[in-house]
Amino acid sequence: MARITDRLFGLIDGYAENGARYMAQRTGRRSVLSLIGKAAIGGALLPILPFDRAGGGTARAQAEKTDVECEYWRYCALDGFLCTCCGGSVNQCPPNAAVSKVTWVGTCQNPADSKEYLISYNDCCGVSSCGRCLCNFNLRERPGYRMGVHNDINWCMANEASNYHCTVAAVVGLGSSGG
Amino acid sequence: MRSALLGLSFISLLASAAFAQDEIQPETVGNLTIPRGTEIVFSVDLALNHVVDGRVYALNSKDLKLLGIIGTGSLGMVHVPQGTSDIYVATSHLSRTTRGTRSDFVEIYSGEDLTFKEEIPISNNRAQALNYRSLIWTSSDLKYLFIQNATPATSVTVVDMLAKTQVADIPNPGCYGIFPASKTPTRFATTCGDGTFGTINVTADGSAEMRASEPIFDADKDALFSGAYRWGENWVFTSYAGNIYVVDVEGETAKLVDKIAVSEGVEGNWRPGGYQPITVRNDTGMAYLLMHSNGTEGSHKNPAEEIWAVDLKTKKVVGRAASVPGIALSASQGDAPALFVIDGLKAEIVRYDLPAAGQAFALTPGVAASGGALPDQVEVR
Repeated sequence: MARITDRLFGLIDGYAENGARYMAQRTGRRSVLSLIGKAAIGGALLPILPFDRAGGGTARAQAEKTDVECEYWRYCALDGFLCTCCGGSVNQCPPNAAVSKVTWVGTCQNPADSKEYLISYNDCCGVSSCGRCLCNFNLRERPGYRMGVHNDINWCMANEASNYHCTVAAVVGLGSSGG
Repeated sequence: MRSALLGLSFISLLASAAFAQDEIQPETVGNLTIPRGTEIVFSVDLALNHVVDGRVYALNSKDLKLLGIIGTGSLGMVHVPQGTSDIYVATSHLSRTTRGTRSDFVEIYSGEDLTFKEEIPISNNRAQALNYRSLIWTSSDLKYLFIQNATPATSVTVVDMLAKTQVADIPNPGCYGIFPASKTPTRFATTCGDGTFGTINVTADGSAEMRASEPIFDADKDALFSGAYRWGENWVFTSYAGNIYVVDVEGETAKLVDKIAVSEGVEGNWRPGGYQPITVRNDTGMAYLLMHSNGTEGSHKNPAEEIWAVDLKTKKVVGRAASVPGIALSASQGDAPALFVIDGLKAEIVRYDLPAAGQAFALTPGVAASGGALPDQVEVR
């Protein structure tokens, strides 16, 4: 049963990555640059939900931002608590929180080299929600009918300990237009 | 010595209490009730900072005074059906609160006094998601409750609310959300990533097939929001690029009835945004949208700057008004027309009074009150 489940999740992950690559191909680097170019600089964390009001919704990738800030480039489609504020790192869960078995993906541009990277957003699971550094960016995010790029659901869903704690953002490949 | 002094104090306290009893009528502690006919606003609080402890705040629609609270467990889904005073919650509980075995239930609460009535066990695969209203819905005859699942493979749990048991788990692969038909209670539609709607008929033995419509929308260029609203026998959706889609789900396959370009030709690149960006007044056929300016790819959850009124019959924008930074809204269907909006930055519910039918659109700001820690769905009944 576990093998079947693993295969299913693998298929879904594959579909999600292909979907993200497909969207990146369709959108293209030039238009992504254009979008980010239009984005406003700045934008402090708002008290409840850090929506990108001034920036018009695009992730405001900024070279000087660190990975404990919502505007850090890898977080362009991340909705949740940053694990970097919760005892983990940008790609490692805190010591007592398990890595989610399934993930959603985004394609984000690193302003340091202007390349696009495929980002896997793993939730970290099994501990009460962290409550620190809530971020909410949604570049190419879609509702649950495009589940592989949907971020309004608990991606600890396939873990036995299914509590949501925080989210990491691991680089897992190059975006197809940024290679 | 010390205990002797404490004893004396206790005796004197009793003596004074006995004396006081002669002077006043002792109060009796009981429960308040909610007067019958009270219009209630339900603020569904995700409580993300302590997500195992979700709540529904029930507020009096007139003054937004808190009437009471219902606990909804971990990422519970909430449905406030018409035709019954009950409230349905589909949720998950862990045996040790923050760890242990997961158990999922449909919980039924009284809309009259908010008390827990009963629970129905369901399979442990429901979508633990933000509170999108389309993830849980009753059939038009209230016999069935449909619940969206995600493992992340998607399917729909069907609960027989009369037999109090789960009767089916129907796959809706690549699709998400539940939009029941009104004439055929066993039928519901679902939105799919390829731009079609799937239509599912539940049979007595729990089996079902999904029939795809012709393409209705483009999930890349103009994705539909999950939070749609029923208008008569149709469902009304809005989209990332600023269109309204009116969809008929009554037949064997869903059909697009109308597509209204809301922000086309309007300066400022206005788009709908939030978690529940559209609501409809049934009697007037007026839709209200949460709109933000400078919209672009990725801005679809941005809070509103304005609320736009769109007449679904004439297919025209009939008015615009400034709004709090709204992320969800719901229209009352009663005699005193009003909108209830979640201010996403203050986590408040805000009441806006609407003009009477036939008068020009305007929003009259009314009361505001806390909607919890992180409300993301609002309903009124």
